[in-house]
Amino acid sequence: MLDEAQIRKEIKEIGVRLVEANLVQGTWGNISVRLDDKYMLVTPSGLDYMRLTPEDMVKVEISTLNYEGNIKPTSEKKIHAAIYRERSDIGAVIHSHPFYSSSIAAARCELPVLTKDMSTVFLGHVRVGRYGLPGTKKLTKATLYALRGRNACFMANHGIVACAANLIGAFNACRLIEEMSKKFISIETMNLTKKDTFDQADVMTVFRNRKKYKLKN
Amino acid sequence: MEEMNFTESKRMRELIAFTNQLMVEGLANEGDSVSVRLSSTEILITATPVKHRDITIENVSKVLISDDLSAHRFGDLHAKIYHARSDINAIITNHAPHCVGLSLTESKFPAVLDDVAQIIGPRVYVAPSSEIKSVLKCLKGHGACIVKNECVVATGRTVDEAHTAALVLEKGARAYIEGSVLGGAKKIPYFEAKLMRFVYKTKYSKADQEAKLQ
Ligand SMILES: [Zn+2]
Repeated sequence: MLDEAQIRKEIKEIGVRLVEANLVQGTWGNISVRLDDKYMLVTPSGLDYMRLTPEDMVKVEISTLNYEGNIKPTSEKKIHAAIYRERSDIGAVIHSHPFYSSSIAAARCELPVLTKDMSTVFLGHVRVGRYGLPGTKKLTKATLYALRGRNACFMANHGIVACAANLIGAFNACRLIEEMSKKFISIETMNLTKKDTFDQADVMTVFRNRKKYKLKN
Repeated sequence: MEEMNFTESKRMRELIAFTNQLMVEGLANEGDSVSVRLSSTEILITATPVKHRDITIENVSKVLISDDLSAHRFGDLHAKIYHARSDINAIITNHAPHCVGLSLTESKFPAVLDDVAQIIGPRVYVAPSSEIKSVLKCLKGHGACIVKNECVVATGRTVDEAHTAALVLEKGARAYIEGSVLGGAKKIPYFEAKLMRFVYKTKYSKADQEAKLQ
């Protein structure tokens, strides 16, 4: 079993790094680490990462979702637990709503392999799960399905799940998916505008053209 | 500024912290205002923040909502919203680029992210002008709205919540626009969006917001 006190501290540190890297905003997003076959440690519900202390992390039983103590675990604990149940190779999971990744999730579109890194980290292209309301079985099922054989997926109209054998790996996957989402949006914009360089203002032009030609948004 | 009691000092600290945070996030600049309610008659409001410089207590005024607030950018709009909506305790008016960009062509746009459905509502409305009647109409049941080609109006039960509303609205506007290079953003079904808004307002963040009001 991993050193629980140490893992609590590491979750807090990764939470702060997620905020600093602009990969999470406010109280949104959550982190978990598998402690052993039976338990996971997860971030609590509705508390922001800067105010969070290592003691606030909640120990949750993976099979029953019963938790220890008075602090409520994240409402997305079902997804974390389901990933640990299904995937013995996964030791840490991060769920977040970073900016560029959210745009891809809103378009419900897949992220193709753009670099070698992506094959190593995600094990292939990144799929998007079907839409489901937060906290529902439908969303858990859709996320697991999109994640099969991969270490990351988009959740339709919501955000991302990034996972790895350990916490730092999950953080790196989270950072890479945001970086690649940004790259993908610029590539697609350049393809549409037939330009060699990316200009953020061109995205608005594409948007207005779609509207002009009455393409459904 | 006259001496403040414990709660007022706390509101002041929060206002300064979140205004600086908004500046770091690129969501507050010259021409933007942040305010927080102290009572049914008084608010704290920022003067125009100086670009790339942290605001301090010197940049915040304690004013009556019945005062002439035209010296503060959109100050009168803040005062009128506080007067009409006792449930609103914090307001941000800013010029978030994707929101203002969308306001030029849209009269409303759908929530394409769960965050937006929860914190703002199933739709984001664009008021044709900053006239109070039209802004209040667009804010009804919604955490924020946009005034056409003018500003974003983000509100909250706390300044923290108004900050999140401003952040999420710009993210939602951006996702709606960026989705167009990926075949179009898909809107969240209305019923699901409405349900999320209801759950958010009544349950999810209530305890957190109430704790922050202490
Ligand atoms: Zn989420």
